[in-house]
Order: sequence, then C-alpha cells, then structure tokens
Amino acid sequence: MLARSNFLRGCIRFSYNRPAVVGFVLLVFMLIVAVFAPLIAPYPEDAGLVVRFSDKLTPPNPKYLLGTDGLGRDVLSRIMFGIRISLSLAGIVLIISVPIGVLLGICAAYFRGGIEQIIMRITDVFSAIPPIVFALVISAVLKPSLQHSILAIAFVWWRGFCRLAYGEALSIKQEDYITVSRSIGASHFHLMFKEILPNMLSPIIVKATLDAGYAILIGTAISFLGVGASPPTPELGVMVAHARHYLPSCWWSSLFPGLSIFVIVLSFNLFGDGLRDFFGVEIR
Amino acid sequence: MKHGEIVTIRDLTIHLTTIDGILKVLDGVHLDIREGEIVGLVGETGCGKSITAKTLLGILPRPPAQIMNGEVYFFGRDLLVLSKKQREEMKHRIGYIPQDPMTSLNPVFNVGQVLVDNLIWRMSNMNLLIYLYKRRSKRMREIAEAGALELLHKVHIPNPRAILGKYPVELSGGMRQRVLIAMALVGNPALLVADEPTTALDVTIQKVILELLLEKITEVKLSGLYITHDLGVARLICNRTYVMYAGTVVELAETRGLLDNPLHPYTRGLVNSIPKLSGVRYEGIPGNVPDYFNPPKGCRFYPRCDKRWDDCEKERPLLREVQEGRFVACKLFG
Amino acid sequence: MSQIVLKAVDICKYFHRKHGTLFRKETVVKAVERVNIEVRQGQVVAIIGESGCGKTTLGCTLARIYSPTSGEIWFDGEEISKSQKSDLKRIRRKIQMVFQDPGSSLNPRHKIESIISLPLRIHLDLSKREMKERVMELFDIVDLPRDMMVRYPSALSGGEKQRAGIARALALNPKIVILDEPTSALDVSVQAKVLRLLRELQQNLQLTYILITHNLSLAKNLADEVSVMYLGRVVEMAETEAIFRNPLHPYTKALLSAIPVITQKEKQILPAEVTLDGDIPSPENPPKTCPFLSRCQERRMVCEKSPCPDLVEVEESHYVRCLI
Repeated sequence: MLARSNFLRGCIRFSYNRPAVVGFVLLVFMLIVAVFAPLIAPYPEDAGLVVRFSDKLTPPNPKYLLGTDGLGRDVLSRIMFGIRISLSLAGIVLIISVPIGVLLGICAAYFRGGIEQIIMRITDVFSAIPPIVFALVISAVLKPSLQHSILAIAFVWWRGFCRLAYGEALSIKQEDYITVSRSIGASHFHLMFKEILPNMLSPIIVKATLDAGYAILIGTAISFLGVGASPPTPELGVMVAHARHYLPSCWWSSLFPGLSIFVIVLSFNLFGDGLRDFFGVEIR
Repeated sequence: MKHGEIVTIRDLTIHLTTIDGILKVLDGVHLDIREGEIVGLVGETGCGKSITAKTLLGILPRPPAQIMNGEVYFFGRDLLVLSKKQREEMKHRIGYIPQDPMTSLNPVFNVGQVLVDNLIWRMSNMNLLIYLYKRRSKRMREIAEAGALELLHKVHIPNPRAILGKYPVELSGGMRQRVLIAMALVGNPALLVADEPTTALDVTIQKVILELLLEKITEVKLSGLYITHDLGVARLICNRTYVMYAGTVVELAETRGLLDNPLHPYTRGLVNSIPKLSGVRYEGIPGNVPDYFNPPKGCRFYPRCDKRWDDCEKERPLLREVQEGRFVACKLFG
Repeated sequence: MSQIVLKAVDICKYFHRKHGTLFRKETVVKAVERVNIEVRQGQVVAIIGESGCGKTTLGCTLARIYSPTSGEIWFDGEEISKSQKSDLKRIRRKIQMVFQDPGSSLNPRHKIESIISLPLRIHLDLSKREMKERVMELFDIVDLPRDMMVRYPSALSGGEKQRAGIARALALNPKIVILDEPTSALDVSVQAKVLRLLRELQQNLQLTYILITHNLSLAKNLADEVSVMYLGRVVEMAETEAIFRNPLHPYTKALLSAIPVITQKEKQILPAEVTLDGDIPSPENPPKTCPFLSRCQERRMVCEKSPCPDLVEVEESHYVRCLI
C-alpha cells in the first residue's frame, strides 16, 4: 500500500539527482527572467532600436553589469530579452509539433496497415531534413525572420514525436487492458486517447523537455547564420554573431550571450534527465 | 555449529531502505542445511525466501539492504564477515539455479559459449588475468568444450553437440532449464540453491525437471536449498521444509509430516487453501500480509490468526522443538 | 437438463504468419482445431491444458475477441461467429472475460471506479448517480471496500485487482463468464478467497462459467465438466468425476500424474506415474497424425500410420480422441 502519492515519490526520486535539481532551479530562474524581463531589465529599451555610441564597448562595470555591445546597448538587458525569446521559441515549437507528432504516431500504431505506412513514410521523409538546412530554404523563399525560423523548426520537429508515439503506442496496444476494453466494446477514440495515450505521457514529456534545449540551440544557430532573427532583435544567436567582430578584446559582448545559450540548453538537459528519475520505472 | 551442517543461518535480520521508508523484510531467521539433505523454503510472495537465498549467495545488493543482525555460516565460516575475495572463493562451492528460464540466459550467447566460459573461469581459479589468458588458448577451449558436452550429457539433453551451438531463443523452456541446471553443476558444487526453478514451466515438463534434479542430487549426494511456493513440489523434493511468513520462520519439519499434519496456524491455513484432488473444501486465510514498514511487534501472523491470545501480540514466539524433529514458532505450543 | 447457453461447433482458429523479408514464407499456426464445446445454464465447464494447447485462444474466440477462422458459435440460439459491429456489441454484453494477470488487465492510469464503470458507460445510458450506485453495488458483490473506488490499480493487492476485474466482468449481468486462469498469478492464500468468491457468485447470480486453467485440482473443485486440450484439439472430454476416476487418454493420465500433490490422501487418487519425454510441440504446422504421438508412452504402430483420430464416445458422456 502506498502511503504517499506517486507524485510525491517521484519528487523525492527527482531530488536525489543533484544535477537535475540544479537544472530545475536554473529553469525556474530563467522562466522568471523571461516573464518579467520588461520589468526587471535595467535597460529595457536596449532590446529595441537604441544606440548609444558614447557608451559602446564598455567592459562590465557597475553601470552596465555585463558590459555593452558594439552599439552601446546593455548586454545584460539584451540577454534577458534573449532568454525570453528563446524560451518562447521552445514553447511555440513544442506546442505545434508535439500534438501533431503524437496524434500521427498514435494513429499509425493503432490503425496499422495503409495508414501506418503512409504516416511512417512521410515521417521518414521529414527525418531526412535537417532543421537548419530547411530554415535556410525557408528564408530563401520568404524573408528571413524570427517567426519564419520558428515555423521552419516546428515544421520538421514533429517527426521525433511521431516516431516515439508510434513505438510507445504499439507496445501499449499489446497490453491486456486494451484487449479487455476492446472486448467490452470501446470506441476507437476512447481506446486511442483515453486508454493508450495516458500511458505514454512520461516518455513524451521527457523528450519534450530535452528537445526544448535542442530546439533552442538550433534556433540560435539559425539566427547566428543570419537567416533567423535579425538585428535589432536581442536573440542570443544574433548577439553572438554580432559580437564576433569585436573578439577577442571585447570578450564580454559575445561570451555572455554564448554562456546563456549554454546554460539554457544545459538546464533543459539536466531537468529532462531528472524527469526520467521522476517518472521512475514507468519509462520503458 | 553442529557436525555435518553445511549452512547455518542464525537470527538473520535485514532491513531494506526505500523511498517510502524502511522495510523490515527479515526478522530473526534461522536455517540449517545438513550434508546430503534438501531443505525446502516455502512461503508466499514477499515472505523473504528469495532474500534469504540471496544473502546466502552473497548477491544481496547492500546499499538498499542492510544486514542488521545475524550470522550466515557456510562450511563453518561466517559469510557476512568475510572479505569480498574470501566470499568469492566460498561462492564457487555453491551452484545456483535461477527462477525463470526464459529470462535467465543471455540471449546473445549460445549454450556452448556460456558453458565454456564458465568452465574456463573455474579452471583459472577465479583469477581475472589467468582467465583472460586461458581463454585464448585453443587447448583450454577444447578441454572446456569436452567438459561442457559432459555436463549437457549429465542433464540428459539429447544430441548435446547440436545444442552447444543453439541460442536460448531456439530452446524450449524445459531445455533452457536443463542448461541452467548444467551451469549450476559446473565445478561440482557442494550446495545447490534453486530459486523456484520450475514455476514458469508447464506441469508435465516440471515433472521431468524435478525428476532430473532428484537424480542429480542423489547421484553425488548434494545438499540443497529449494525455494518454492508450491507445497506439492516441496513434498517431492525436500527432506525438511521451512515455512516462512512475513520474514520470519514459523515452522520447520520433515516435509511429509509437515503437509499431512501442519501445526502452525499459518501452515494449516496454507495447506487448507489449496484445492485438493480429494475434494476437501478449501478456505483462504483472512486478512492481508502485514505492512513491512510497521510489522506487528509480536508474532507477525497475529492479526490473521484464528487461535490467537493476547500474549501473541506482545512477544515474538521463538522456533521451538515441540516434537521429534518438528519446530514451531507459536505460543500455542509452549 | 438446463438449456444450452453456448455451443461451439467445429471451431478453428488459425493465425497466418509471414516469415522472412525477401521470400515471404507463410506459416500457419493452427491454434484451435475443430473444437466442440457445449455449455449449459449454471454449469462450470473447464478447459484444461498446458501452454501452447490453444485454450486461451479458444477462450478469446468464444468471447468473440477473435473471429473464428471457421466453425459456428451458437449463443442463446443465435449464431455469432460472423457477427459484426452492432450485433457484436450487443452480444458482448452477455459474454464477458476475466483475464489471467490482474496486474495487466487494469489500465494503470485509470481509477478503479472508471475501470469498472467502463462497460456501463459504453452500453447503457445511465445517469451519473445510477452509474455510481451500480459501481458500489458491484464493489459489494465482490467484497471490495468502497474506498477503493478512487484509487489506482497500483494501490491494490493482487487479489483485490482480480476482484476488480471480476466486478468489471459482472457489470452488465452477463450470462457467461469466461475465466482465463483467474488465480494463477495470485498467492495461494489469496487464490482460495477469490475461488470462493467465484463459487458464491456462480450460485447467487446463476452464472455460467467457462474456466480455462492448467491446474487440474482447481478444475476438480470448481467444474462440472472437463475438456482436455492438446495442440489445439480436445483429446478427452467428460464429467469431472469421470475424468478423475477413469482417465482414458494417455495425455490426461500423464497430466494427472504430474500434479505435485500435497497430501497423502491425494496421492492415492492419482493414476500410475507417467513421465513424458520431450517438449511440448508448437502449433505451427502440426502433424497430420494424432497430435500426441511424439510423446505418447502407449503408442502403437497403428497410431503412426493413421490420421488424427476422431472424438469417440467411450462411456456415457465420456469422449476420447485416441486409437487405443
């Protein structure tokens, strides 16, 4: 008999994983930064079209905590808004790609036969498209912008979830309780979404968390290459690209944005790893 | 330590640390195995029989499990106080037959590879360097292969040479179990520990395997610890049987006497619960197994016993000899 | 003689498997081969066999989880082997199945109340209140404490889970319940309680059971009639008393003598010791002769030459499929 709820036991298991806890704390911190950026950034206007040539390229000092970039803008404030953008990117990509991928995966596994072949072969095709290359193509066709790069990533991102959902649904389908429900006369909808889906949530959530970091990384890479967000948007990749020219003397304007990217991705990874422990043996 | 005793376990108490708390899985377990006898360890799921066996084999994972008290003597030496190396040396006098033949063989190795490997390890005296060296020697491999064939022959596997090349997935359950028995017999062990080896097998195959085991045991006068939840199997194989409940030993007797005339209320309940061919009515045992986080302080069967006294709740009854060769841990008997 | 509730005539269930990638070889697994079963109201019919004999497949086919490859199933005067969709839905209300492993037959993500009320939600149009009442009634029938309603399967013990499975099967007041090894996964002391429950339910609710098991002692205690299966065919069929008193087929004799009995009294009831050689063959591409030939201790020359013998009535209501 369980004295505690499963959720609580999961939390305790999670807490045994020190790096995961660190990741969690960092993520929470960054979430707060992202949400409240306009309020807590020292120079919120620096996220936009502000130029202060007088203060350009100052090293970290009490006035500008992380220094200023080539146009005199406060690096710290821009990073805060950059985190905001990156987390939003992850959110949007996931919101679009996860439901589509999971839905297609479940359908393929449940109905099998022709539907399965069609869906999985399309997934194969999409698996051959690297997100960065696709973003380049999109930006060649449409104007390069942050929104377009987000769409480009979301356009190919669902394939991983489709495959994951497909594998999970296939194995869950074999379980006795599905056979029982089917023999009682449950509808397809009920079986797919009320019986099978709840049992595959854990791997999907873990993958989504780990993917968030990776998607952000790709987003910054796209912007770094110049086909994503464009100045003056304070996107972390743009900031790194822009600051390249001032290396190595003015190291702060590229190091700190780069470090932020590193920290974001790392936190998602650590947290996702801890989520595996949280879910415990439920992950196949 | 009496003469002729191979295994003596005294007062073994083990706690298991989990997220939800500490499970007091074993409490004061006594067990003896004498030379040339098969001792049965019978009980339901979770009663601690596997843990007892694992402690004897030395494969109990120590961080979650903690040995709070007790001694485990094997051939006169307390396994719990030996160093790792010394324990390894003692281990190769024990053969282990695991429970589920379906999952106990590594699917990527064929029978020949597993047996030959095992034999070469024995021949190198458990020394890693010698083992690695000997593995490469063709002559060693030939010797080991001959030994493997002989082992397969011992367990009555038809056409052993062909079987050497087979992978576990190509073998049936009964065949796999025979291979496992052959592996357990490598090195001529003095003690055989079998953990429910026939539970996963069909009843007609089980019969064959049990007869095989009996034959091998009497052939070289092996001693054995046979763990099972099937009382009928215990009757066939075991000379004496221990009945465990909730981490404690509640009864010990010569098997036939135990089953024909059980003394402890739990044993009686157990025997009564099994549908019989003789058509006698069967009952269950009311209640549930105790919560191992907070087991009853006195007799652990107290809450479910129909013959209980107030005394039973306060103090744990000790295993006492109430008749010739019959031991019961119950206040009803003194 | 009460009326016949279920009658299966010459039921066959084959599975087709394709092997290999380039040259797709097809093998046919003949899980059930021409089985005839008759179940009367209020009876308990046991189907006995070891793994691979097809008893579970037979059970699933009778419950119409599978469609039979050929043959007829008559239920309540209606032939149901080919029924589809809405007919099937109607029929399923009356034939329910309880599965072997209680751990895997309950969806771990659903609360018990939701699990048990599923058949009600699908087939009946009840108000929330009526639904809840019915669920509580079912809880009482199977002797489950009512506070289990809001818990998840992981909080229940094996015996409790099995009771929940039984409650679910009873939800729509079925006529027949097919029990597939209902107690094999449980501890002995729990088994007895569940069996007693099953027996009580049968008497109180006038249920009819088809009991699928490998445990002959269980069959002896619960069943009126026994069919022994081997490799997809019924090899012996008789009233329980008759089978145990006078087993005829060599396989039945071997099965009986292999039971590890507990008490001396039981040992005296068993037939002479028979140990079988070899392993249980697989139902893929079964032999055309008597299915038991390879392991039979009593085989003769004629057995090797003739095709599979038919089921013959040797005594009153005692059928055997053997040339001897």
